[in-house]
Amino acid sequence: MRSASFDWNELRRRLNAFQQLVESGGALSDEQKKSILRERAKALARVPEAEVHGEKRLEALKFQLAAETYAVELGFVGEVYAMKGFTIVPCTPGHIFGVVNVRGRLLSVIDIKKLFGLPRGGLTDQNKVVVLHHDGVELGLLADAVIGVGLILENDLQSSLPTFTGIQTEYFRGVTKERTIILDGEKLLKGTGLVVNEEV
Amino acid sequence: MKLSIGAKIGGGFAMALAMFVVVGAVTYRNTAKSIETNAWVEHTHSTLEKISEILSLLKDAETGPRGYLITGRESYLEPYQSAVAQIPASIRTLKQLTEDNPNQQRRIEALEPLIAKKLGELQVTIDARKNRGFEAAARVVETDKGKTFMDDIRKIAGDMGEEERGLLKKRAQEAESSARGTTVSIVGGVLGAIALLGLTGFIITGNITRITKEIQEAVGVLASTAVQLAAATAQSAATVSEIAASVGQTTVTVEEVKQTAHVSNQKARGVADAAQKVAEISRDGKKSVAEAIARMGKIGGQVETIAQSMARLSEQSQNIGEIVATVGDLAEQSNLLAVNAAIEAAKAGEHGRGFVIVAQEVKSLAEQSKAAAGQVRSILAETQKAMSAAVMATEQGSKAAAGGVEQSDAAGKSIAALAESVAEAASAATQIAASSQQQLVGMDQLAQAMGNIKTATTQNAAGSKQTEASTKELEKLGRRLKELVEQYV
Repeated sequence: MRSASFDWNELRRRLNAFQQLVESGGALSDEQKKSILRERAKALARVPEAEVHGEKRLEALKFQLAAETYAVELGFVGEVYAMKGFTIVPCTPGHIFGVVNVRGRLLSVIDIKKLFGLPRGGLTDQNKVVVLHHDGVELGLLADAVIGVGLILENDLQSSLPTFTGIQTEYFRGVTKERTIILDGEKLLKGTGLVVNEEV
Repeated sequence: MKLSIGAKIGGGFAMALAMFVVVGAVTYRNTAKSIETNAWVEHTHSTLEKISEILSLLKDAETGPRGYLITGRESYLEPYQSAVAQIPASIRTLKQLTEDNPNQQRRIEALEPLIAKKLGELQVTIDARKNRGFEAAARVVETDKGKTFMDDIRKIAGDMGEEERGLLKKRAQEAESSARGTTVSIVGGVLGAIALLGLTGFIITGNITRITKEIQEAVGVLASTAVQLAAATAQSAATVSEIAASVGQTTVTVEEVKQTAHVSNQKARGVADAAQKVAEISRDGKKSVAEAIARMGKIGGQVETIAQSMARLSEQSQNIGEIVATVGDLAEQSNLLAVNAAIEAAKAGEHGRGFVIVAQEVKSLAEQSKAAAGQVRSILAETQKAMSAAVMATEQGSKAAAGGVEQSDAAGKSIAALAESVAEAASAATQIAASSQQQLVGMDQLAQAMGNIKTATTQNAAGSKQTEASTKELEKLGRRLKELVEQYV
C-alpha cells in the first residue's frame, strides 16, 4: 500500500546526507572551527569581574547537595574524585559514609546531607568525593555533583540565614545572593562533631 | 291405429277419390259403350234407310217405264234413268255399311243380280215399247218376269230389314242395360264416397278438436315462454353489454400485462447481460485476488526483511548507546579532570592563571560533550521508541500480510461463490427472459382472443337485439295463434 502522506524521497535524501556526514567522519568545517576558536579567544580576553571592581574575591569549588548548591574555599580542596567503590566502616555515626581508596590512601567520607538533615537521594555513579585537606588532615565530602570552580565576592556574603539551625550554623560561613552556601572548610576538617571515637 | 291427421285426411280423401275414379271409370266405359251402341244404332238406321232407298229407287225405276209404256212420252223415263244412275252407288254404299255382317253381304250378293235382272227386264220393256210399240211391251210385261224379280227383291230386302231391326233391338237392349249399370254405379259410388268422407270428417274433426285443445295449451305455454324469453333476452342484452365492458377492460389489462411482460423481458435480459458482465468481473476478481495473494506474500517477505533490518538497527543503536555511555563517562572524567586542573591552577596562584582558563575551557568542552552525550542518549531513547513502534508496526504488518493472504483467500472463495451465484442468476435471468418471451407471445394470443371475443360480443349484442325483436314477434305470433286457435274451440 502506497501512503500518500509519507515522503520516501525526503527520507532517502536525509539518509544520503547522513551517510555523507558519517563518511566525512563528523569533522567540523573550517568555519565552525574558526568560530569556536574566536569564542575561546574572547573568553580568554575577558577580565574577571572582581578585578574590575577591585573587590576582595574568594575562589571556591561549587558542588551540589540535593537541590542546594554548596561551595568550599579552594584553599581547602585537594582534588575532586569520582567515587568508585567504598567500604562501610562499622561502629560509626550515620553521617560517616565510609572509607574510600584514593590512589593508595584511605580517606574518610562524610555524608553532609545526613549531617545537615537534608533529603537523601540514592547513590549513583555520578557521585563525587571532594577531598578537603588542611594541616595534614584529609577528609572526603560526598557530593551529588561537582559544578566547578568559581569566584565569590565576599561582600556579597550574608553571614547567616534565619532558617539555619544547630549544627548547620556551626559549619556555614555564609550565603551568596545566588543562595550558594559557603562551607567553612577548617571547621569541617577540625570539627569535634566529626571526630569519631566510639567503642563497641 | 297411429296415423297423422294428414294421413287420415289424405286416406279418407284418397278412398273417396278412388270411389269417384271407379264411378267415373265405370260411367266412362258405359257412356263409351252407349256412344258406340248409338253409333251402331245409327248405322243400323242408315242401313235400313239405304235398303228402303234402294227399294224406293227400284220402285221409281218400275214406275217410270209404266207411264212411258202407256204414253210413249220419253219424259216419263226420267225417274227410271235417275234411279238406274243412282242404284249402283246405293248398292255400293250398302255394301260398305254391311261390311261387318257376312249374312247381309250374302244377301246383297243375291240381291245384286236380281236388281240387275229387274233393271234388265225393265230395259227390255222400254226397248220393246220404243222399237215395237205398246203391244210388244205389254207382252213383255205380261210375262210377269218383272213382278217375280220384284217379289224376290222385296223378300231379300225384307230379310235384310228384318235382320237390321233385330240388331237394332239387341243394341237398344244393350244400351239400356249399360245405362242402368251406370246409374247403379253412380248412385253406389256417390253414396259410398259420402259415407267415407263423413267418417273421415268425423274422425278428423275429433282429432283436430283434441289437437286444437293441445295447441291452445301449447300456445298458452308459448305466450308465457315468449314473455320469459323476452325478459331473459333483455337480461342477456344487459349481460352482453357488461361482458363487452369487461372485455374492454380485460383488453386494456392484457395490453398492460403485455407491457409489463415486455419490460420484465427487457429487465431479465438486462440482468442476464449484467450477470455476464459480473461473471467476467468476478473472473478478473479471482485473478486480482490471486495477484493480491502473491503480492501479500511478497509484502510478508519484505516485512520480514524490514524486521531483520530493524533488529540490526536495534543492535547498532544499542552499540551506539554503549559508546555514548562511554563518551558520557569520558566527559564526566574530563570534567572532573578540568575541575582538578582548576584547583591545581588556583593553588599555583598567578602562574596558574592561564591554566585556569584552559581548565575552564576543558571543563566547558567536557560539559558540552556530556550534554551532547545526553542529547544523543535522549535521541537514542527516542530512536528506541521509534524502533519499538516500527518493530510493532512491522509485526503488525507481517500479521496483516498473513491476514491479508487469508482474507484474500476468503475473498477469492467469496468471489468464486459469487461467480457461481451470478451464473445461477444469469441462467435464471435467461429462463425468465425466455418465459417472459413466451408470456409475451401468450399475451399476444390473448389479445387476439380478446379481439375475437370483442367482435363476438358485438355480434352477440346485435344478435341480442335481433332476438329481442324476434321475441316480440314471437309474442305477437303467440297472441295471434291464440286468437286463431280460439276460433276452433
